Amino acid sequence: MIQLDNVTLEYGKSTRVLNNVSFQLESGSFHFLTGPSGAGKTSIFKLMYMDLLPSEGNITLFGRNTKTLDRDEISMMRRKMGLVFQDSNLLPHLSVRENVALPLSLHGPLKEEQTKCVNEILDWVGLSHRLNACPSTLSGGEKQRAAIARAVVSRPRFLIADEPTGNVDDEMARRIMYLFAELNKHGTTVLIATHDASILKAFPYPRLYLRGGNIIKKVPEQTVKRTA
Amino acid sequence: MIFGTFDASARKALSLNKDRVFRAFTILIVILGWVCGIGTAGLVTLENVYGAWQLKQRSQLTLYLSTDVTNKEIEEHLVVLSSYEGVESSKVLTDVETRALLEPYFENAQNFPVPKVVEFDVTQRLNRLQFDGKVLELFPTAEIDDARSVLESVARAVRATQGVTLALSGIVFAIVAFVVSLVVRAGVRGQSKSLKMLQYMGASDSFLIRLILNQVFLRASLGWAFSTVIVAVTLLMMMIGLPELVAYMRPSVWIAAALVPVGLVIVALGMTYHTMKHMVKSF
Repeated sequence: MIQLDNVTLEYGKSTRVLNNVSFQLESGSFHFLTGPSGAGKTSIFKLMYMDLLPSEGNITLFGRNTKTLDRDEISMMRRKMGLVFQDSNLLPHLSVRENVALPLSLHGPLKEEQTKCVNEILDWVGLSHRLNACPSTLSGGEKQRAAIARAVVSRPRFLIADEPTGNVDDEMARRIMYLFAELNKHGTTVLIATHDASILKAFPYPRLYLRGGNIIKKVPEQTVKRTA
Repeated sequence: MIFGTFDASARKALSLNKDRVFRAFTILIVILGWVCGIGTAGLVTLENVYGAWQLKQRSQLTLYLSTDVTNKEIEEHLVVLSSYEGVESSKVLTDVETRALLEPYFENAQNFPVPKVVEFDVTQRLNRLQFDGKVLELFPTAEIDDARSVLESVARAVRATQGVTLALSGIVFAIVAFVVSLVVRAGVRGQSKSLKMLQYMGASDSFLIRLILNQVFLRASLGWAFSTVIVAVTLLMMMIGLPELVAYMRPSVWIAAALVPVGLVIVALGMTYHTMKHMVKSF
């Protein structure tokens, strides 16, 4: 479903960020992307949500080569994806509820069930008491939870999360991971970049280890132990 | 809404209302709409006044005959001339009437013999070539006076005035296009993060363009509505102040005054579309 074939990414002529990276994510799978800072995790994500195009190689998303997509097709592809950025990237002039509702608003005014869905997801991430708050008044953890709610509200087919638990406490991190696992159970393909050893231990999904622009280790899938 | 309905969160996410210049955009359209509306109303009224005056001038023809032409000759020849198609009526002025006409131009008009003057009321059906030929055949020394030369010079003046007004309208339209381009550019650049996020969520170029078009349309339409009201009030005041104009303030004046500023809205939308089309691709 999502496939990278010998993908190389260069910024300018001298800086090679990714070097012949190849891997495949099956539909409905759950993977972690790990590796030291600067290894190219964010660059892989940018390639996946088509903010960048590979210098060499091909990326296939939902059966389409990203290089052959026109702008409208890219938009349609992105609607099938949920993105959680390293910095929450909430829009500062929108309330928490408006930020979360934004992906649904691309289809026109929100219907009643969509509004309900927004409220439910905010309740789930523990922000039901901050619906009308401005992002500037939220703590780091709250911002991240709001960003996660925004990424999953449209039930994406593919979820990409860049360090989603970086700013939250252990309890919230586990809840967020369970939310991702729940989405995965409903068919969403999940790829999460994380350094969090406790998360990697608690959720032993297959890992892609990235170093120096190369995937150097693919840790096979283990049985997922659910720790309540 | 004309460019689609949007959820409040989408409208708020990429809103030009945060831009101070955009907030003043409505006022700009009101002022420029008023200038365009009044200019157009003036143009159409002038055309109406000119048309009526031209009709009056074209329907009059004066014959100046030398003093030695007798009244009997005039009477006989007038029968012939009045038989031409397009000649409605003719009138021979008395000496007193002629002197009164000449008095403003000649101080001692009372002291010399006055020419015979015949006035014709004619229509467009009169064949001037044939008529003038016949006049000169019957009265070889006659001078035919019509308003053709005056009409030509007045027509030139009227056309020049209309040209200047149109040029001013062109400048007004160009100002609107320029301001819209600047406002949209600055407004969208100031919200590049919002635009980028919307794109990451899957907002298409057309969605983003329509989102901005909607805002420009609302502001410009509001400006047009206000300017139309102000134009109407101004015209009413002109009718009260200059009652002689009332006859020429036909419905065409009002319709033109209301519709031409719509052009400002169209220009604003066209420019927004053009600017946004290029801008969304640069993000």
